[in-house]
Amino acid sequence: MLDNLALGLSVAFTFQNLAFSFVGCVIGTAIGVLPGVGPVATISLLLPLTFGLDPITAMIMLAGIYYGAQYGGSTSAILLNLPGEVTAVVTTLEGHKMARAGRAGAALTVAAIGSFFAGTVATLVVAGAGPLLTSVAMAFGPAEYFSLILLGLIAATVLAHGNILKSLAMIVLGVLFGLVGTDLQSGQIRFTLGFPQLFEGVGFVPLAMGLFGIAEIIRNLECPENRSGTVSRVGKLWLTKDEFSRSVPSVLRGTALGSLLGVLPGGGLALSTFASYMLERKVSKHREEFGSGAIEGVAGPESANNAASQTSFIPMLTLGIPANAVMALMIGALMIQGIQPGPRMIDEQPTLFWGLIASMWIGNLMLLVINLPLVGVWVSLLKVPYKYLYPAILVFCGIGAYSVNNSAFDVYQTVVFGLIGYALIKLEFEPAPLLIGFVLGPMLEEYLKRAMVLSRGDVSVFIDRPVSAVFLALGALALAAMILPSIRRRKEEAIAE
Amino acid sequence: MSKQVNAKDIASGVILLLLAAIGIYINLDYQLGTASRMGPGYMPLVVLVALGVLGMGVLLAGFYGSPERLEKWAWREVGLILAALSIFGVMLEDIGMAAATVALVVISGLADRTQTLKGIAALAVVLVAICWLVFTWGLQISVPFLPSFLTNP
Repeated sequence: MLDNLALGLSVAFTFQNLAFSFVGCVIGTAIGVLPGVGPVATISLLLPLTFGLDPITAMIMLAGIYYGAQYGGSTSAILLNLPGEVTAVVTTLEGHKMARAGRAGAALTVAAIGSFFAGTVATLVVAGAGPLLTSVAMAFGPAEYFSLILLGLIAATVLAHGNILKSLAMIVLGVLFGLVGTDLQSGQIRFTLGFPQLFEGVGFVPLAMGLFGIAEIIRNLECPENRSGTVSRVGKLWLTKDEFSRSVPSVLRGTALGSLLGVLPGGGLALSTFASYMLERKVSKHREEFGSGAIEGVAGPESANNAASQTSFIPMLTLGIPANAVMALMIGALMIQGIQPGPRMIDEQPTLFWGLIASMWIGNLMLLVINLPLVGVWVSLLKVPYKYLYPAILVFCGIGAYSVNNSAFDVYQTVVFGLIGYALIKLEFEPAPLLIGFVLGPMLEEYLKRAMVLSRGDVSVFIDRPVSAVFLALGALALAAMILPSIRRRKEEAIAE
Repeated sequence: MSKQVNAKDIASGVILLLLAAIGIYINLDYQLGTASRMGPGYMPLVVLVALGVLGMGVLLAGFYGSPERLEKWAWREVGLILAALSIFGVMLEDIGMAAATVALVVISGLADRTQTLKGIAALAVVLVAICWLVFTWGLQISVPFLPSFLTNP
């Protein structure tokens, strides 16, 4: 492992990779700070810019944006009481209360240092668990892969809010969008509605940009209250001795919790912050302070959040299965670069695998520097009015979508997916499962076909092979766990009527 | 009094069922093949049936769920933002990035009523400058910046 980490560091420490990691972290922080601009939208927006780069440089930059957004999200959560994204919701609970009490600086410091510590530990977890999981995954045949992808798809709905049937429908719709285009085996053109531009499939960038970026803009214009507020003063950054000693155990607990939950497909990120907050509130000696600015309530969830955002790379790097929408984008970026993520990546692309891991740690170090001393810069960014922001985002969307294939058709695809994305918001559908289904759909078909050829059309192969059976059982269990409580609740409601 | 239903779920269910039906109709043209040698229509059929079943489920749940109305659409914002981006796409290749950007900023600017004429003008100038710097000069993407009749007289 040390050799591999050394290899990774040598890759990550080239000038070009350091520079793009830095650029990614800065952009990510800016995005995270700006309320109303989410990380998924940003990454899909910037995806076209990375096509000209080496795969490793592209991944390092995208990863920097991803965890930069986690850091930045806590800044606006603490100072503005507006979470830049879901994972920062918990931080508003205690963090903003601390800011009101004049301790915004301390909250920011503990968030940044906790995140850095958690990121360091989680990076080591990725480095250790990655090769281990890869060696297991190498033994997988098509049947195991099919079941694993199915499990991943089901898990992607577990933590989506609201109606489970609707989340499943989104997955299925995503898979369907993934099937549009030419069938590789037969050459049959499917579901292109007569557009020759769709022969190669629905555009990944237009789909992600439309569903997340464009729909988000319309939504923000419709509900202006999502994006304004008064910015608290930062105050002193130093922690008092008491604050420090109270934070240490919380950071440790948050790191452990986040590292574990981050691996889970389907939103371990948000789950880990909520779980950590609950845990801190239970075990704290200062329980009475919770709700009015307890530092443990910032330290724990912020560490958990960052640890989880690192370990969520594990299923993507080792199995090629995205744990969340951002990871789905990463897979899309790799595939556009001609690299199929999966267990073979670690052997075939060792510099990519280890370079990315090493850059995670470097990125975290950069973020510590970018965030704490420069917090004033980010605060001033909070004051940029949204009315100047959204036309800029729109221009970048337009040029970005066009430049993927140098085709105006991709811009029109973005428009269509923007409309679909807005309709989904209005009908209370979650767009993230659709994106994950879209990425995994073609793989699902491929492995299904291969498994069925090998078994000569016998479906029982998925149950006869033990590993595959375990995956399917887990998937069924997850489905049952989600559906049963909602049925019971409905029954109780019906009886109550 | 009519029974209170979840209109969002009912509309969602109907849309999903419609999509499944249209999809299955298109899929009739593709060969199904057999389970051991799947044709191009096999997987889509499985997926479309699943979509139909889920659509039915969402529809039924809508009749028993907590009552909810359909939300109003912000048609003005939807129309202006999507129109701005579409026109940008139309203008980009032939008339160039500069003019397309100005058109996009002006049209999308109408979507926020707090915009001022001065603000939009300044924003357009700044964005055109940034686009030139980032895309034309920096990344050197193959999009014309100015209209072709100006650069090739």
